[in-house]
Amino acid sequence: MALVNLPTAQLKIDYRDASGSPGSTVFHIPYGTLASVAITAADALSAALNALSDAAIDGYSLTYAKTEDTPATPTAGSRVEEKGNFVYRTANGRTTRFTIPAIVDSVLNPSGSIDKANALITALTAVITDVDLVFASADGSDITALLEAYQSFRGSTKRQLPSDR
Amino acid sequence: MLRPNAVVELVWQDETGSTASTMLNVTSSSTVEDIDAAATALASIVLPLTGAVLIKQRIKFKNETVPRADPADSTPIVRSGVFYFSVDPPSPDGLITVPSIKESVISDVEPFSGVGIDRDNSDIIAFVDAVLAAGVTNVFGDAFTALVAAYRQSRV
Repeated sequence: MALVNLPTAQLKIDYRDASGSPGSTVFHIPYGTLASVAITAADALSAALNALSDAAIDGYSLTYAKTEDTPATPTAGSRVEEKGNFVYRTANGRTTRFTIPAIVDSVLNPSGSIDKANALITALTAVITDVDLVFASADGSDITALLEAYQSFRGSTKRQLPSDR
Repeated sequence: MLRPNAVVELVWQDETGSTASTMLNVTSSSTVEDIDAAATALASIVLPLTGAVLIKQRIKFKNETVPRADPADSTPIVRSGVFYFSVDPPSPDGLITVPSIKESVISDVEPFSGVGIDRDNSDIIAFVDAVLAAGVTNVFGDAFTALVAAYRQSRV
């Protein structure tokens, strides 16, 4: 049971034509390529593509993906619509947030808030705020402290409804 | 312009087979190796907090053109140039598709007039050189070695 990388990382160049319709060009590069090297190559490829296409290039994304080769079995009754929301303060006075799907009941208070003193939650905050790790807000500011944590529910999509309903 | 943040995405699957993600920002100046190590540490902490199981991890860097440019002409996005590259056998070869291909690179020499792409065009030569210099591969990681064919097609 392990996350296994694909043979390649994916570079996707995004375009927009005069009608506003989007399009893309996809390149594959060896997974072991350093991101800094891949980004330099992406800039060169974007410039070359700009001379070939009448569409405008809006940017690109570079994705390194891994897939679990033998996934474990989810807990009975687990539903990704049930979220744990975690809101953190950042060094520049703003906030950043993320969610954990199918949050376990054992960290919930009766009100639906998440018990910030729970050992699992303090361990999570320790990892998120660890300055030696790389987590940050969208503007690159360091994450400093847990501000809010609570349970919420997202509406199920049609595909998520029980098949035997 | 490279965004200051890259994104780590952990994809989770619940008992019904439905999936959802935990997405965190990381500084984009970090190496993939460092981000991967941080993602592994995070996943091990999140695992006991969820009833779902981890099935995928993605690390994504994003670059945006600032300011956004206007399209050069009204060529529709579906009018594409297809570039067919060879790799060393026995791997399958690979394709690169370029949307809204410019009319100026389309061949006017029979029998490929209006369909074939002029491989002697300087912009095409520069593109092929950039692809080969970048070490672009097919999905199996086998490097492209040469442009074999190039033509225009319309996707509908």
